Amino acid sequence: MTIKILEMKNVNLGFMMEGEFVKVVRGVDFFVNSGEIVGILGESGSGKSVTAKSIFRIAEEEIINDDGTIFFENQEITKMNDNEMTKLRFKKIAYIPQNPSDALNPYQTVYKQFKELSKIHKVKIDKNQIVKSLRDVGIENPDVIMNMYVHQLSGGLAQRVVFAMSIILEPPLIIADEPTSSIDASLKKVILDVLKTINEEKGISIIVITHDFDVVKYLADRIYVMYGGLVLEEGNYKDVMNMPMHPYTKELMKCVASIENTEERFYSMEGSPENPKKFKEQCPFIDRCSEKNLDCEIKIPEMISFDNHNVRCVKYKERF
Amino acid sequence: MSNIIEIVNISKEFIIQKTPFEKPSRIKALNKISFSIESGSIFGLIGESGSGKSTLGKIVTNLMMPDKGEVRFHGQNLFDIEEKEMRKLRKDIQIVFQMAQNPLDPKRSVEELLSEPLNIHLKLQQSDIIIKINELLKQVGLDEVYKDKLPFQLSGGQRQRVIIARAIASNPKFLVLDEPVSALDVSMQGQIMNLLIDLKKEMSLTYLFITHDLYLARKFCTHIGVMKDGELVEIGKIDDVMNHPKNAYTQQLINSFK
Repeated sequence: MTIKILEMKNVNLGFMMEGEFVKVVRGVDFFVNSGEIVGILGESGSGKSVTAKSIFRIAEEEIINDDGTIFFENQEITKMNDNEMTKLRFKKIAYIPQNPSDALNPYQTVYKQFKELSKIHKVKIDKNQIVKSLRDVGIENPDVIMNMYVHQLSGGLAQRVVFAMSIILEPPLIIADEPTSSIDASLKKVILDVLKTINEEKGISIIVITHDFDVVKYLADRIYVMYGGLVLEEGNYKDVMNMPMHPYTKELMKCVASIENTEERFYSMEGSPENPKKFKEQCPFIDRCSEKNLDCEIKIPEMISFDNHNVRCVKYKERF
Repeated sequence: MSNIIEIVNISKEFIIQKTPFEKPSRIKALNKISFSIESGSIFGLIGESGSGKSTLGKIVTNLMMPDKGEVRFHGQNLFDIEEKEMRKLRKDIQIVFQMAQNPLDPKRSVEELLSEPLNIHLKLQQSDIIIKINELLKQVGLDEVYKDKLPFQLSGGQRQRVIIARAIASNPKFLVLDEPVSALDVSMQGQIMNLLIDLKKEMSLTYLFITHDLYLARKFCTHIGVMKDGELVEIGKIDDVMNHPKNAYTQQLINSFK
């Protein structure tokens, strides 16, 4: 039987922006099965990063969870106090931010920061373990890197150091926010392989947030497609890719395919994503959609289920 | 076909000193780079970060001096002419920077941003400037209502259109495009790439297209140069290089891409 390691229900997130409350995530339902790799695919402003941050409970002042619950291993994260949350971080849930240099302390060497982890969680971490975890993420000279400060590391190296810190305590859940955006193509595969291996060998569940189709293709068992603060489509990776249902997912796939083929022109999706300040109670893709009808304007479309494949589009409504 | 740009033996070193206590070290950013770009072609420069592509882009547009070597535009060496002459040439040689570097002045409206190059290069009258701005906006597919907007009020794709409009304002002949779409979402990339294809035809432009994205290069470019650690390791027509790469690094790059 599959156990849900994480479950979010009707999570709404927003910021105070110039005195007004701006909702950026609108009623997201989301879960991760134990041992699963889940991809959140979305473009900038879709709300994917904020969703992930809310699980780790960072940037708290800005995120207002006015409704909804987040359960992790049957504990409600939203109700935990800061102490309990600190115990969870990196021991139970690790978060690899988009800009890895931000996650490291500029005044401490890499080694010291590993030691910090062991102090907080009262676990013994010896030098050999650190060397091993650094080597696991493709760092060839762990002894040298260990004594370096953040500013001495390149973006790719800082990224991998944070990776090593995330896996050393073997937490049951790792959240990786755009794990490949700051590294070169040749390193991309190394990083993705690291994630794949820890998932396969240690059964660690992974949430990978990305705008890059290659990343979900390589890793994800199941994906969520986000747009305008909503999940528009959800399902097994293969189902969604073989039979995308939401017009947005379809258009997005045409864009990617068009970059990869050799026809003269590119496939062009007109318009641009809606600014969260102007979100309306309607389908967020309405202005760019070629299949829209009058129902799209009435309210935010409901999620419609087809076995394990869910889609938020009125097009599929009349089938019931 | 004649060559619009010839790059001859360009070398550039940087001195790097990360902390005040360590001994400065020298890094060869570019090492004896030579190639030429045919009029009307799209030359793709591909490589990973730190390979020297952006440095080369700046040298080709004379925004940075090389230690050695020449850049000849229609046979004239850019580093061998007076500043006054160079100013005239800048009209013909323009660059579109990576958007991550935020090349737009945050305090100026789109209209002000676009009138600057028109003033400097074409010395137009105020009334003509307004007409030309409307023309430019139309050319890059932006509505006239955006004239009064400030850069932060625009989406990424719109900002990139303004940056491109600025670059083509002086009717250039040669455009360096430094990662023009890498900061954009997939759904916006196609729009901008198509715009670049259309502008090239309309204005008979020649492009130097700097990218790390092999897919884009394969689709967009006619020729390609592969850079690694400041060296140009392979150069040729796009199909030849993609189908029969000779250099080991190029082969590795193409294999990781398949």
